[in-house]
Amino acid sequence: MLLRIWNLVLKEFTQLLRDRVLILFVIFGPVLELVMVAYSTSAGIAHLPSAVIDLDHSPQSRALVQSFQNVKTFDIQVYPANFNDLRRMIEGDSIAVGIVIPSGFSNQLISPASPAPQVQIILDGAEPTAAQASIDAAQGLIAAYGQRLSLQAYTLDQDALQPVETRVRVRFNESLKESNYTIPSEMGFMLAAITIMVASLGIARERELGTLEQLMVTPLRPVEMVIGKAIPAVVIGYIVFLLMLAISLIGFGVPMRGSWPLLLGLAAFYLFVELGWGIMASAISRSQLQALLLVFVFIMVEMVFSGYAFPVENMPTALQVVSNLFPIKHWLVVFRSVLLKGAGPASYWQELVALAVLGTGVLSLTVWLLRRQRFA
Amino acid sequence: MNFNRTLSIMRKEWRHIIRDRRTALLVTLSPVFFLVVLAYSFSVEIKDVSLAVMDYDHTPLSRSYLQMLTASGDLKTCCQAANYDEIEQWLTDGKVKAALIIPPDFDERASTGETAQVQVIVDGTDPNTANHAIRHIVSRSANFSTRLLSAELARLGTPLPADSSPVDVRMRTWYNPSLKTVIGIVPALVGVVLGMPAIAASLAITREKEWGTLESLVATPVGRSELLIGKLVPYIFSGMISVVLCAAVAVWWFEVPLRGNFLLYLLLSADFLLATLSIGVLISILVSSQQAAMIISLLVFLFPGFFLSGIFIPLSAMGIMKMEAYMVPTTHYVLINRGIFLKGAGLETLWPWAVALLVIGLLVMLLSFLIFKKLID
Repeated sequence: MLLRIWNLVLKEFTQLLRDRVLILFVIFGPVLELVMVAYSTSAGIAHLPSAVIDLDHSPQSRALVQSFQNVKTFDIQVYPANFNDLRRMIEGDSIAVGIVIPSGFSNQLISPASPAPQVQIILDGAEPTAAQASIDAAQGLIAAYGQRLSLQAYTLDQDALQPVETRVRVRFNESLKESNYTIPSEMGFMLAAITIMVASLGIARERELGTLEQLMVTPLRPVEMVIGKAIPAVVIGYIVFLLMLAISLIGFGVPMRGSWPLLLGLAAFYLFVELGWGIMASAISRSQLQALLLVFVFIMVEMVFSGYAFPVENMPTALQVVSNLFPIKHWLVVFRSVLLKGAGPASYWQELVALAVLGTGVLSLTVWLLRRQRFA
Repeated sequence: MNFNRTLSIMRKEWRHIIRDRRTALLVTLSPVFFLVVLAYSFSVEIKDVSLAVMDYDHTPLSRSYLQMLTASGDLKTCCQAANYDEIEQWLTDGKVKAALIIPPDFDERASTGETAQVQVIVDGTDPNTANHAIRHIVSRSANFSTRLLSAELARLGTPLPADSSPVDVRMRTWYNPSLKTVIGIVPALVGVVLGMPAIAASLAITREKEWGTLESLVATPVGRSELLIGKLVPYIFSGMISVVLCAAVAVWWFEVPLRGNFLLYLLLSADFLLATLSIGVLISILVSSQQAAMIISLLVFLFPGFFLSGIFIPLSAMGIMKMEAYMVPTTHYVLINRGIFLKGAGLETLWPWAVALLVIGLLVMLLSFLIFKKLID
């Protein structure tokens, strides 16, 4: 049995290596893409181009503008002359945030009798993530600005103003670096996409070219065929994984706090489970085109469940239930725990069990489907 | 270039598209399917962040503090911890995302004019959730402080002014006043899912190459440019069906406003399809197997479409990778769609992106034509 699998693996590798350009693309394409994507998204949302209309021109209004400039979310670039210019800039996407300080700002601020002066902050709702980040940052800095002013006005000392003080300590990702979260997501997703893609074509191509029937009349059993088709894809996926891991750790400073042998072992395990779905798509499709389109659908959905944009635990319940069928959801919990928390299997045994069940289930189903086709 | 010959190639290609019902349906409907799935899963809000509590004080005051923290549903107390080890374990297991430790002298200090220190430990693995929890706990605690303080000052006879904030800030979110994620994200997602027609076209043409039927076409008197244009145009037509379906779903299902001109949307969508389909055709000319076509399409359309097109991270925050982002057609199309749907922008605002798409489309077409000619001759 081992010898038969080995022969099939050899045959698959010969076929893969024949197309040199493809191999280069498969291995270096995702790695290069990871570098570009990680580089452009690693800063999170910062330095949003902002415009200020200061109609007051007072030291107080300049101090407020300065406190906006001091926060890394905003980057004040232009001072439009009027509201219409601001409107045009936001419509044309050259400016994301507008800050309007009315005339009389400082007078109202100083005189205790007059109402609090109004400051308008205008946001581009077409980019919800940037707008939300701006709201959060603006609220924080206005609160701090207000507190500073009240302290001056009432000459109260800081302690008396704060009966309750919170001391926040962040664990595992101490500086709340956005890239420590997004890079594992992007890595998991690209890895899954490329390995499934390699795996999915194995059986469908043989069927399209008519060589599947030849393979079926050899003593090769369906189980052996599935394993033989999976191994080359796992090997290629693993090389891509190692390259990506090296770039994430060395190039982007993602910490690796857990055990190395554990990580390397679990990654191989994950690839096997992920491939199960690729081979399944391949076994049920009539042509390569169908296999590819099916796999494409699968990969798009995996992207959703990688938690890249929004955490899975906040999605609608129905989607959360469905997410359990996708290996990437379980793997990213494991991967992040090992990288950032340095955790051992005791912390994520449920995810490992889920992966094992998923892997065995899908592979058995594929073998069963192939066996049925063989005798049909 | 002979128009009749081009037309007959178009007719032939169109038959190819509609003959295989299942694939045709998959190609025109799958963008809409993706739009719905992606829009639902990306329009979530962070809430119910699980919080572990270790209350050493056990007084009515500490309980009312906890009550205030969890009242809005942003945080939810899931468990009472007995010691620090337990908190550490739960954070590592991911059972809780944050922990709150109320010291034994909380009530005593807070109500006698001293400062009670509450300790907050947050799992930073997911910075979005962590930031959300931190902001929420800190601002609620500040409110709690102010309430205690004003009660105390009122008792002493020197009440704080009712309006304690010296500046009145008005946030205006233009185009999307209630800042619903789904409104902003659906027009952008339309740009990602409409990459599908290009992927389908590059696969279909590669398949013809693999089967050898392309060679028999080349042997006929049909010219190279006629062949390429004849293949491209039917896919633009079938893509336009998806374009209309996507707009319908966006407007009627997700209630995204369409403030601009619908005809302009159609015109610029055709412009976008021209750019992406030219790239699809170029890919199919360069590679020899469907497998390779798919992998390259994935690297060219899907990954950059998601991560670089400005859907989640605004272009302006991308630093020097902005250039790379502008090479991807989806980036321009995302800007166009947000402009037309939400901002009601016209061609006078959108022309730079429309021109960029046209230039990408024509350059890539020319390139494919030259390479194709060289390969065939």
